[in-house]
Amino acid sequence: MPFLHEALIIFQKDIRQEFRTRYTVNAILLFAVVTLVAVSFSIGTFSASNEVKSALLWIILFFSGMSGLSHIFIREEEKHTADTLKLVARPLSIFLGKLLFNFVLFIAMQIIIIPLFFAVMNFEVKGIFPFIIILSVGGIGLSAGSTLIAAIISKASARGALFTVLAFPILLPVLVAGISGTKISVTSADFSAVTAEFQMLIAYSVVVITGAILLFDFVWKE
Amino acid sequence: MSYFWKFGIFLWLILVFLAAFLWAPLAEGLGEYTRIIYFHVPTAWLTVVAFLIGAVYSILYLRKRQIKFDMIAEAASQIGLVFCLLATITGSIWAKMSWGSFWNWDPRETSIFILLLVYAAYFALRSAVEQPDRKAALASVYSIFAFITVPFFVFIVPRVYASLHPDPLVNPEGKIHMEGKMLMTFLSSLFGFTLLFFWIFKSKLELIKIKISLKERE
Amino acid sequence: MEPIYVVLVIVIVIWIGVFGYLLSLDRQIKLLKKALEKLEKTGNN
Repeated sequence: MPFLHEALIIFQKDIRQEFRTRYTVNAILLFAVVTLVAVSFSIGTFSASNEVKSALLWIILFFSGMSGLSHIFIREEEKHTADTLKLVARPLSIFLGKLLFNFVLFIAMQIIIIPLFFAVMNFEVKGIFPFIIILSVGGIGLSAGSTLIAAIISKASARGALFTVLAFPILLPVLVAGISGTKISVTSADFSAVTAEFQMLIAYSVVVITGAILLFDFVWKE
Repeated sequence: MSYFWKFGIFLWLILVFLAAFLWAPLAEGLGEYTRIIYFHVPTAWLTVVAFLIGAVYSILYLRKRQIKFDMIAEAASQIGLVFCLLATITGSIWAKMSWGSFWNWDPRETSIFILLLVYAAYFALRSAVEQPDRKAALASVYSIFAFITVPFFVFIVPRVYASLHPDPLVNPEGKIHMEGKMLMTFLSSLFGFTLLFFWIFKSKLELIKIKISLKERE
Repeated sequence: MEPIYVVLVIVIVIWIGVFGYLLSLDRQIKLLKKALEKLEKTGNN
């Protein structure tokens, strides 16, 4: 399928660009580390329950994501490469390529931050398999929603604050299912305990990716 | 809208008010608070209706690209925002009196708050874009996108998690457990409020027509 | 507070909200209609 091939090329282009400047990666990681430090420092010697720690993990991941996932389109607009891109590739390929980039970015951030979180917050998880699954599928949902919203705000002014404002209500189901699933995986190694959350995250990701693919055309053509 | 209709709607709502306070029975466990159902629930219902209408006209705009569709979608969203605020505030007062705190992040409370955030985001987006056609397109996309994600909160989450909301309306089977006088009063109230919504909606449409005429003269 | 008064307060809040909104809409319509009539009159002269 040619559009998948195009999508991969766009993805590779963005990765290469990112490696050269490391702008987005730095922004996201820095934000995540700072937030983690702030959280750990504020909790200090007090003990937090597993529920609270699960929630804090997702808050750190969520807001770090918010700080970086919108760059993917803003960069195109600012460097004025958006018009060329419009001529060269299909909207579907562009969206899929950018979505893949955002997803990889988010997972990379998770890979770095989560072990740090475990270490710094004395967080222990019994069910490592459900834990990873929930975080991965949650990552899909967050990236998918964020990518479309990033495209929308790249065409507007006041981008930074607007991105979080638009994204938060849309991405909230991921937070709810994610935090709940993570909390359950702390005490239970059984995957069947998180099936409800897992199904909801999968359903959400499917709906959001489909909707975003259908709607992306209209945003991109503006 | 003719005075006949306006007067009719007004009269209907007076009757609903009287029925709610003098005629309808009370539910177990809720006592006098039962009567809130006839007024608080319709506002929540209407904000969802407005949200739906907004999404529908957003789709129409994206297909036909006539600016009047976007103006109608915006109008519906404004009405939706008003009713969403009313639902959130009245629900909060009820929560304080019934369960002790103004806000609990009960799934229904959360979903009405999400809707409030979506409306706020919609208008924030509109004000962040200058050109009318770009504003309309982006707002329409957001409206539709929000519409497909919000059902996750309104329908799925309350089924999965327990809720503070009373049983006749929020229960695992998703059915309405109301009988006789209570059901009649409730449905009449829902009907009356829906008519009220269309009264407001028609006024807004009139406003839009005048605005379009004014623009054409300029 | 007696429950019945709470219910009344809630109902009053809803009515004030709704009818206030309706009234402000009607006022906007009247203003704009006047502006439209003015424009039509000056246009026709």
